[in-house]
Amino acid sequence: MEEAIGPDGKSCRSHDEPMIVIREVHKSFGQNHVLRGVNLEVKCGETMAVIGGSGTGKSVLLKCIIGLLRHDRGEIYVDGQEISHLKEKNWNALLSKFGMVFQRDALFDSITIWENVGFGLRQHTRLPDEEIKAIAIEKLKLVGLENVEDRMPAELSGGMRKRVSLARAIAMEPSIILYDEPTTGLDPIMANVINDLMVRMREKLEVTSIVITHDMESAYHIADHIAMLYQGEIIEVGTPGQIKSSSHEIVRQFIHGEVEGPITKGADFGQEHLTSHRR
Amino acid sequence: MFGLFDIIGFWIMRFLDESGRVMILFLKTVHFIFRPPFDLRNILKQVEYVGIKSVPVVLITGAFTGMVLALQSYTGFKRFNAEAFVGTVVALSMTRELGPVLSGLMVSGRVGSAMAAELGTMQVTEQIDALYTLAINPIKYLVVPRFLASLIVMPILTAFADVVGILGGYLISVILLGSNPTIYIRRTYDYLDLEDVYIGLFKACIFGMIIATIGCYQGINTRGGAEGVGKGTTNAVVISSLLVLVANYFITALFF
Repeated sequence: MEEAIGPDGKSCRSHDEPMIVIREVHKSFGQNHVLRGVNLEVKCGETMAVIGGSGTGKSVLLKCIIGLLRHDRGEIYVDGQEISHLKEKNWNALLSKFGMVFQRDALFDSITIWENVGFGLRQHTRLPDEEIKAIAIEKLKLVGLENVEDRMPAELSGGMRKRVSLARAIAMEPSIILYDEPTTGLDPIMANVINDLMVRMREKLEVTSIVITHDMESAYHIADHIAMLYQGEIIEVGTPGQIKSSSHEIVRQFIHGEVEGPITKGADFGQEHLTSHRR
Repeated sequence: MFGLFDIIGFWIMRFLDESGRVMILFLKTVHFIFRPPFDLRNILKQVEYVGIKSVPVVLITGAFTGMVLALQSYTGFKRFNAEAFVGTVVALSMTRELGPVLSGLMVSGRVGSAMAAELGTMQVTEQIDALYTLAINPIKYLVVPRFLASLIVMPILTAFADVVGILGGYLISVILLGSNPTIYIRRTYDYLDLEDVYIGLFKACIFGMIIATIGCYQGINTRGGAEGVGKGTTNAVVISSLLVLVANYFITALFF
């Protein structure tokens, strides 16, 4: 792959500076109190993986950070700016810092690949189409795709679409990339291709990344720190090594995939019925 | 016993809630129409989709409506020797009422459902969220072109329906019923005012706005996968058709 063309200069002055700070954030949907006081800090230029069971609010947290959802209580700071009460006209400036890769790609299916990747550029700049197409082709090369620019999303495989989705997210050269379960639904080889790409994004483009995942191998591979979300709160944060050797019983049950344990206490997955049938 | 009040109350609240949201979408759409940049390419694309592709449907609807009007009014008027006025009735009915309303109902079924289905599918596959993250306002990008296209195209389609309807009535009267063609045409002109045509076209504009707003609203607020898209599409057609009929009464009463 070619040399990455990142933003001019570093987006982080130092790697100890927090890029995203989440303080006591709460979010409910009716009676369902999903986020119950989330606290998390993501340093500039690092990759933070947020792990947790299905339906525990990981996607909700991501959407609160980028403003797709408004949190009920608490504070979220992005690059020093608190976003809870941002007026609409200031949102666009904030959004230009973000790129997001959705779980199911969310490519626009009625336009070509290069139009997808260059979508933001077409809407926000006055660049002519030829230039935008050239930039799109360059970003596609960065994610390992060539000669797909004139095809339609429906013609590509899942792994290719995921990479196009990443190319679209980086087309406007954001300083923060959010990934919503990037390796879910991909075969093991493709999952590792995506993992490698995420690491490369961090190295070459110096972006801060937050990755929602329950793929532990992916998390160990790509993350500087891993945070576990459980019952609406972050219960532990650490490096991959620290998480692997965690003594927290909930973290241990989750990362080892144990069916029985404190997380699933009382839940009936039908094992008893299965065993009686085998007899 | 209180259960009944509960249910009635629930539905009233729900109705008010939904109406409010639709109104908010309408106002936001109007606001974004006037905010640059202006996306002419998208608007024209929608005009082609809403307009040009609806022409055959509207022509057939208009033609057969005019024809049946001629037959029915002849039957009725003959009873008191007023067959000569069939031309007048067809012209006034088509321009004031049937042209706009039937075109509105056809376009609601065809275009309103398509808008709800397309935007609904985008919503459940997170494409609308993706637009937002690219700092593109979904209302500006998706709703405004559809709204403007409907607003521009409905009166044009209605005009086509009017012409074809009057022509259909003429053909039936002259060829089938043996009326004097000159008298038919004279009667059409004598009693048709430009105002009748304008009222019809004004109605068509309002219907166009209703169809686009309801279609887009149902699409954007779709929840729950394929079943949700199906429900949203059905709702779009039913609600916009009903609103077309209700609005038709009020506009007619306004100009009465």
